[in-house]
Amino acid sequence: MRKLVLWAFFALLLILPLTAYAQEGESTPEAANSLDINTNFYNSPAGWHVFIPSGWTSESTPDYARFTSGSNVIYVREYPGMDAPTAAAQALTDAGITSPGAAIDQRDLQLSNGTWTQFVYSVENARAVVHTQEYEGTRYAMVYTGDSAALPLIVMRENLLENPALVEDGMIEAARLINPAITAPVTTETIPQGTSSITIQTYDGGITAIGSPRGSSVYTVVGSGDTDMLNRTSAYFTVLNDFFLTPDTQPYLFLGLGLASAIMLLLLVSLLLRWRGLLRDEAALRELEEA
Amino acid sequence: MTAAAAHSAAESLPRANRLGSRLLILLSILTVIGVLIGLYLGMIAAGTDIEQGEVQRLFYIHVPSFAGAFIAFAATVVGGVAYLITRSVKWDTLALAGVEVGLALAAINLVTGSVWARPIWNTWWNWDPRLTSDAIMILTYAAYLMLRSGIDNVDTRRRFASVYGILAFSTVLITFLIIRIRPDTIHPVVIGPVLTDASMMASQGDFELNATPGVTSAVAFASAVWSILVPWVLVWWRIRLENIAHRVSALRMKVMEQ
Amino acid sequence: MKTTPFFKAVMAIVRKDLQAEMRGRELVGAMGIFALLSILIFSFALELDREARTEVISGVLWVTVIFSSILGLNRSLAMERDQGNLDALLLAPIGRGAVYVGKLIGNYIFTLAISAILLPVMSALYSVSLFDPFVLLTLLLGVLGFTTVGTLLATMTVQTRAREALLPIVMMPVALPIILAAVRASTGALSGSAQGDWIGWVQILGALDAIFVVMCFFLFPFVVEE
Repeated sequence: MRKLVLWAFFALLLILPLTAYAQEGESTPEAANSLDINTNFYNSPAGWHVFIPSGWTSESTPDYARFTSGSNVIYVREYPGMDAPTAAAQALTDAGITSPGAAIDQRDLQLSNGTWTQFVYSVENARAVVHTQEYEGTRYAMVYTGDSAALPLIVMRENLLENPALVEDGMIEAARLINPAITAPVTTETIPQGTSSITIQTYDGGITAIGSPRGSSVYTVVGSGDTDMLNRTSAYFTVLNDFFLTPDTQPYLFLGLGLASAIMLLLLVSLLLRWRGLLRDEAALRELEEA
Repeated sequence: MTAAAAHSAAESLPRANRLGSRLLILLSILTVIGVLIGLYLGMIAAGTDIEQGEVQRLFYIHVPSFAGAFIAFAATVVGGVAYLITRSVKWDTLALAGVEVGLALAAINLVTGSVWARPIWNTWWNWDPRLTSDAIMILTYAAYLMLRSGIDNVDTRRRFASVYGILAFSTVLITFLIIRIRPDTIHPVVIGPVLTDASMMASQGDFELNATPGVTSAVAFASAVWSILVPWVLVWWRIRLENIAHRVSALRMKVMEQ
Repeated sequence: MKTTPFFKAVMAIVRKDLQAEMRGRELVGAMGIFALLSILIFSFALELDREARTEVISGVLWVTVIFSSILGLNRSLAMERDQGNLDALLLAPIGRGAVYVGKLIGNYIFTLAISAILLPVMSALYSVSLFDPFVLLTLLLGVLGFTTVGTLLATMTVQTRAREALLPIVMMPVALPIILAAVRASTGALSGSAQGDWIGWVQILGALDAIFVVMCFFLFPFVVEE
């Protein structure tokens, strides 16, 4: 009876960790994130991935990401060892835009996922925008272009939170990159959205800008103002903001494996040494006993 | 059952002894194979984590080794309770074996966690509630060994060690439960994606990335091996070592009496 | 053999401890001087501005209380053992559980007495008032928690070779969850943040106390058999 109680107690203890496992999966931060290839483009050798905007077609190859919607194109690729202007020009060529000429605007942007350089090019009758960033020796570039000019343009403004009027100011600056003739908006409308807001401005010549503040940058899309514009706004900034580099953490994996095996080895060696010592003692004692 | 089997195997008939030895060796080989398959599943078959990179694979050792330590420390509690009731030496041997094996597995758990945290949390160590209680747990069982070595009388030593082994298990349970009381809030994000603004990114889609089957099976298999085979085989070997030690000290007494 | 009723036996042991203390003042004297010295050293070592003082004061309080309580536990049980009192108590017709509860209450009272000295002194030295109802509640619960564990473990360690040196090593890790919860709860109560943020720690403290009291009560008989 006593034994039965003991074993029952023991069995209970064995079950305990299993119940915890069930909860563990939900609550530990270590839970593995794997890739859903339907919503992400993952460049395995270079270790970066971007989100595929919903409604866009992916025409990617293992080397680059290329998403299209109508005649609008998003193109992302890495350029090891290139400087910003070279990589931007090369990315434009790779995206299928021939002879864009020199950039008409170039500026640095501090965003949540690093410092990007933004280039604006004049392409035939429209514009193209390139965002590029260097991280640990490799440059990454993304190109956005299309027939109807709906392009993402980011402008930095200090103290944006204290002074919301700067959003409108930043949007005008962005719109002037598309059409330098613009001076002031015809209409301005601001819609509050949670803690943030969306501002819509219209200008002469059928140009519309949609802008929103984030950190110290004004995210603006300037275009022809059709219904598709909001969708593209979302798509462009999703690609830019969710661009993610998988960090190279392999040395730590090896370090961890090495230390873990060292500890296990230590236990086994200690067991072995004690075992052999005891057997030697036993043999010596037996000899003494017989003598 | 293994503990009792090992014990009776060591002390009773030589035939039973041989049987026990064969079973133990068979189990040891199974364990090595199991650990190797677990490593293959975790290190090669499972996909690379996109947010954390290769280091995330330490997860396949980190969690299973805690499960193993838990089982070993649980064996100490069982050994302690059973010793206090029956006063049979074999139970104390089980308790001691559980502590030693549990300490090694808990150390593996702590070290892999610390190495993982370096690139992901950007620090080897932080005073995260669970890390703290895990360190306390290891210190408690180190104190168990100190307590044992501080007592000369074997009966007193076994009695006190049993009591302390039962008491020490509270730290294991706390390590286990603390995540429910104070959930970890540090999310391992290195560079982006920072949650995008709802206003601008209305259609950005679902961020919940699904675990592939490779990951799930690697964790499940490794956990099964590490929480059942690894601690039990190690505990059994440690019990056999202790039995030899008892035999040698009995022999020494006998020789000294001559 | 007829045994003395449980509560009568407990009260007798507590009364014996208190009377011995009244005559000699060995325990509270040593503990009190040690505690005062440590808070003086802390206030020299940590020359702090007002804000930092509120942050660390509960940590200082608990470290001081714990170390002086370890000192007291060691002395209390070493005295019992050296004078042969423990053996006499065990021979007396009273339950082992009553011996444990009696010693526990004695140690609890002594440690609370030290805390009662510490509170006004620390409030004055650090100019932060410690007389908050929740700090007092935390103190009552926290001290109960670690004297519970401490009484059991001190009974064990006084019977070992290393004696005094072993108690902190053995007791600290087991009592650390209690100390952790107590420090968090009293820091929360002093910081003036919303009660919901830290009341959980007080509840954890209560739960830990209950677990340890039950465990130690049932384990004590195994520690004192001869």
